[in-house]
Amino acid sequence: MANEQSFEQFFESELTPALQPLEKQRKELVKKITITCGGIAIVAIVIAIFLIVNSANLMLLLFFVIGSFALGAFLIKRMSSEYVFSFKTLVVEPIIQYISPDLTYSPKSGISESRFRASEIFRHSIDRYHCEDLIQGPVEQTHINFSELHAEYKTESRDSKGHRQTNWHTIFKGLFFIADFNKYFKGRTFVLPDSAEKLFGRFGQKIQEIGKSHGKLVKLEDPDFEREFAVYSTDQVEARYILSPALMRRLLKFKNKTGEKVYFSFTGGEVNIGISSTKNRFEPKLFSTVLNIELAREFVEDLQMALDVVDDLNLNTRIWTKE
Amino acid sequence: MIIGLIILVVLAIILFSMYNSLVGKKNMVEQAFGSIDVMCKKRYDLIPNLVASVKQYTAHEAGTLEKVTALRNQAAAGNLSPDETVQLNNQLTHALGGLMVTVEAYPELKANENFLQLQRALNETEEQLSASRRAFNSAVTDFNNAVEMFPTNIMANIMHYTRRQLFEAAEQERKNVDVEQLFNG
Repeated sequence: MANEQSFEQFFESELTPALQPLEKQRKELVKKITITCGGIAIVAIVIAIFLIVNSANLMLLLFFVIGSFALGAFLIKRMSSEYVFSFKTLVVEPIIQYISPDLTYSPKSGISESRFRASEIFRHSIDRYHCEDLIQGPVEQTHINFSELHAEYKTESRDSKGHRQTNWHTIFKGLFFIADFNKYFKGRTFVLPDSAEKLFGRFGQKIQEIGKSHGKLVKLEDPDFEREFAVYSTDQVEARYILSPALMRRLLKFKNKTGEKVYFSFTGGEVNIGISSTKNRFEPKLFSTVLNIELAREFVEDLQMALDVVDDLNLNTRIWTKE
Repeated sequence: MIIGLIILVVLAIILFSMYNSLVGKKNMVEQAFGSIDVMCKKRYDLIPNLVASVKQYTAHEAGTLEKVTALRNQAAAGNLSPDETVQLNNQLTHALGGLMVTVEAYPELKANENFLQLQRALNETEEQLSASRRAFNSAVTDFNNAVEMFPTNIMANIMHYTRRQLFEAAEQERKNVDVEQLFNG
């Protein structure tokens, strides 16, 4: 990436002109939202008072309050979707182009469900899948794709009154990468967070279960690495061919840098990386100005962190037979 | 009577499973050694080509090349014990490392497409060899643990299983590469 000063220049000369109409759009949107939500609030308060005066039961009141919040949230989301999209095309895209012109950005698509499945990191069947902010292109010799994604499964239960309840559980939420790996391999190798989380009970068990179906456990010689990760593979030698002592160190460092739970799988000549995170990246903030270089800088940092994966894993070292 | 029978059956199951796990571990070691062997052979096959293409460009490196060739022929001849194979291959790794440093002095050779391809292939087999060696060591550690730890050590004793040697990394791999010494060597 270019230096700080030129980023400021870029922000002034390239982004600001695009941001001005966007800022206007944002202000109008905020006005609309304030009016709508204010309207809902007034009506809701009136009805609530009516309910209280008529001493309706507490459950009904509670449902009503939750219901009006949900309606408000739904309307905000609906009204702002157009703004979010123009923000992404007018702000995020130029920033990505600024960092590397080889990259392409598609706000509305992402790593497809089938590719996510093909990584085989998560074996749970998926009931709801959402992805956005796909960025793809080459970083020198290494082709990468990454996007945000959220995969969930559902369970149904009945409460004491016989009402059916649907609960959604997250399988994975965060940034997901697929990058071309710099060595040839045929089998499948998985580097998963270790069940040191056994301590946390149920959650730890869940992780162990993930492991079971991933092939044979590979015991590696780096104790620090072994403490953080559990490695499973269909081929003991190939797993070590992929996970050279240097790469083990790099994966460990990468894990510590992100500070999140990270999953790796090596399948079909590619490395798949899942960085779980609750942060929704590349989104505008509705209630603060877009004419703020700090916000743009945050995008640059997020993006740079993602692109650094190639360097962090040394994927551009092409000294083996794969070019 | 029934209790006695149950104890006998449980004991038999424990003995069988100990026996089977020991045999399994021994076979893992052998399989892992087999994959080292495969990689070594791949390397032996590459070396003559490499030597030939280096020869075309370098007039003054005959000594290094001869050393590599001699080691390669010795190793490829077969009839070697695992320990000898290991030792020869360590020497070979060292000699090849020296050769690759010498090559730095010949820009024409370094630009040669054929040579570059061979260099890549060689890097590949070195990496594969190191992976096989690590897989072997892991299998041997597993095996040695079973041979020495209670209660499997008793069974191992009966089966005449003894500790196996780990495949040590060649001495110079542990040190940082001393380029000057490689030039002089």
